[in-house]
Amino acid sequence: MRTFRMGSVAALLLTLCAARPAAAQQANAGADGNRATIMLGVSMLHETYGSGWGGDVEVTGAPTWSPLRIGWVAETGFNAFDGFGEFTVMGGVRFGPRQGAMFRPFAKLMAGLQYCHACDTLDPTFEPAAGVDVALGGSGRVSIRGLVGYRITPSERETFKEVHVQVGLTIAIGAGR
Amino acid sequence: MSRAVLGLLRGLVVVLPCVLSAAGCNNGSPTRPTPAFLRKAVVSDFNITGSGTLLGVGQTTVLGATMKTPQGVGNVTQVVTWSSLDPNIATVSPAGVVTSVGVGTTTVKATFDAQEASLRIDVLELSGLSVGGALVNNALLFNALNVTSQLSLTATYPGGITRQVAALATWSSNNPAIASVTGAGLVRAIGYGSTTITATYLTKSISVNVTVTPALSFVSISGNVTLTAIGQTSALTAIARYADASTKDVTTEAIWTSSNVSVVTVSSSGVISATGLGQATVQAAYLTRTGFANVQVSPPGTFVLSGRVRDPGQGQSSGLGVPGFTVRDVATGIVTTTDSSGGYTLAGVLPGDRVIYEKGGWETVERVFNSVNDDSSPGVQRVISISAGSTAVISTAPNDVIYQLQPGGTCTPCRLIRVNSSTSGTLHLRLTWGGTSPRLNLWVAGVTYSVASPGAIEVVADIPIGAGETVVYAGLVGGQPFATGYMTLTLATTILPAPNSLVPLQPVRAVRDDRRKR
Repeated sequence: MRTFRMGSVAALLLTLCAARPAAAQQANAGADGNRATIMLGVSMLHETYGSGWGGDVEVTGAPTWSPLRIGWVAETGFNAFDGFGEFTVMGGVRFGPRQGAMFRPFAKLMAGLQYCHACDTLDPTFEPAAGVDVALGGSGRVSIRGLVGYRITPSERETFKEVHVQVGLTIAIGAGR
Repeated sequence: MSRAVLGLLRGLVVVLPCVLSAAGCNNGSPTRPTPAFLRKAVVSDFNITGSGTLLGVGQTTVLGATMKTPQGVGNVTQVVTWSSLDPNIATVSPAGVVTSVGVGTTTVKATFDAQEASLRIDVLELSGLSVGGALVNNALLFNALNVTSQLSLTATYPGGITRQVAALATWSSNNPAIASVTGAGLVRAIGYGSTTITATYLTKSISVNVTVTPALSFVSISGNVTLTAIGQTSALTAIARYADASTKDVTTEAIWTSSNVSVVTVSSSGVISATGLGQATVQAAYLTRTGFANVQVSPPGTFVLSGRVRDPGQGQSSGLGVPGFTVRDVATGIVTTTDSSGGYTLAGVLPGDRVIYEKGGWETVERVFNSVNDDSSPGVQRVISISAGSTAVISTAPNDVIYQLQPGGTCTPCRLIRVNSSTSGTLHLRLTWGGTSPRLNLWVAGVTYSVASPGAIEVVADIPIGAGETVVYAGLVGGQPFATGYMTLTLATTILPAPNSLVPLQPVRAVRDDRRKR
């Protein structure tokens, strides 16, 4: 089990390293015409031991590497289950279209750490997710977020698998071109 | 990850549910974990807490269940599923409350998912009850109205287990007009008479008798207490007399004892039996009072003489007892010796018998007894032997031995001094004492030698004596006896004229002139 956990941590580090070049390209985000965003949302995690409601905060850098629109993403969230809670901090890469469109589907691949209150453990966690931002109004600075992810958390006793559903409000920040 | 980070995360996890969920603040507490918490966490040490012993059918005991979680030991009583292997012995509620149904042993289990904990339940059968309190022969006695007495009730179970169940029992009085009882066993005297208090607990009951009587004044003993032959018996009766002048025959209830079983024995029913000549005191103790009777065993026509030989010069109202005195009935030849307190008993004394009290160093006293009522407690004086040229120091105190020294004159306190000389001559005596009062005198052969002047502390006299014994009394003559206090006399003697005609003075046997005036 310990070997598995070490492997998980190594995978997490690799994912984070893969994201760094995208972050390094942030300076070119303006040329792409997109903006960085912040998302505030409510979320639900569903697993074997029940469903936990909570909230997420996500920050994304301006996408680059057109046409894949790869950019960095960081997210933190908390979910309260029946009698316990989970706190997560993750980072990774985001694949998304231009912000100019009304429907902007995207995908995320994130890795991070999750604190399990009931277990009193801090475990690596991974989450591939897909969602869509739907622009509100003509400016397109404000969007409604919908997302579904699948979170995998290898822990000491077992690997927790959770479906992550997120609904929120995405706000573009900074000056786009 | 450092402990600080973990601590921060733990804090966030505790606080955030309060923000995000109205009900979340109480959830997740390590003391009361939820099922989801327990399933998510790695738990261990699943235990049942509480006593598995139930004392009797229909009793309950509350069990609890705990699990050790990563956040501490949690109370999972309400989370687990409770079950009893034999509901005919004990049932268990979803909250862990066990109720005994029948006597025996079973097991109660607490189950959570695949985990299980169990506890043996023993339902014991009540084996007995006992009542405690101020009981005398299993009876509660009151000698006044409106007083209370608390009874205790002890339930006994197999294995020596006991419980105080006075507050749990049902108490009742057979006659509340005589004694009432509260639900906790507090008995109150209401009226005179007897009744029964009963305590019932579970399947058993126990009763105690309650008697309410007026205050006991005293116990008297009646019956023939003069026995004339060894082996003779007499049935005595003990009568309790109460404050309201009522009486009760308590012969069989009293505790009988004899002060001297070599003289008389007494049975539990008050029958005395002579075992030897003499006198003994028989007691009948009943509740708080004891009756006394002097039993005499003496042949027909005789009586038992008992008394105390005492030294009246040693303080106390009647003087200290003098042990070791020989008390001899001259006629019968029966001899006894005074005990450590000066007491003696002389049986078989015929009216008119002379009794002589003797002890070396003390004056010998002779008494004639015509009945048992004659004074049989003589006061005796030490014999002070003094030789020529010597000095004696005598401590004395007011006493009741009054010597008739001359017509109209008495000596008290006194000390008797006997001087024995082989020749005639002059006895030179010097009597001194401390202080200026009282005025002491010497009295010799009918002559009083007084102090020269008031306030003097000595008397000096040259007394002509013949060969043989000369009796000297030193003391206060013709005055008022001392009321209290001690005095110390110093007596110095010289016998004149010819020193070579003197011989050391020796104590002599003498019989006191018993012309006593009390």
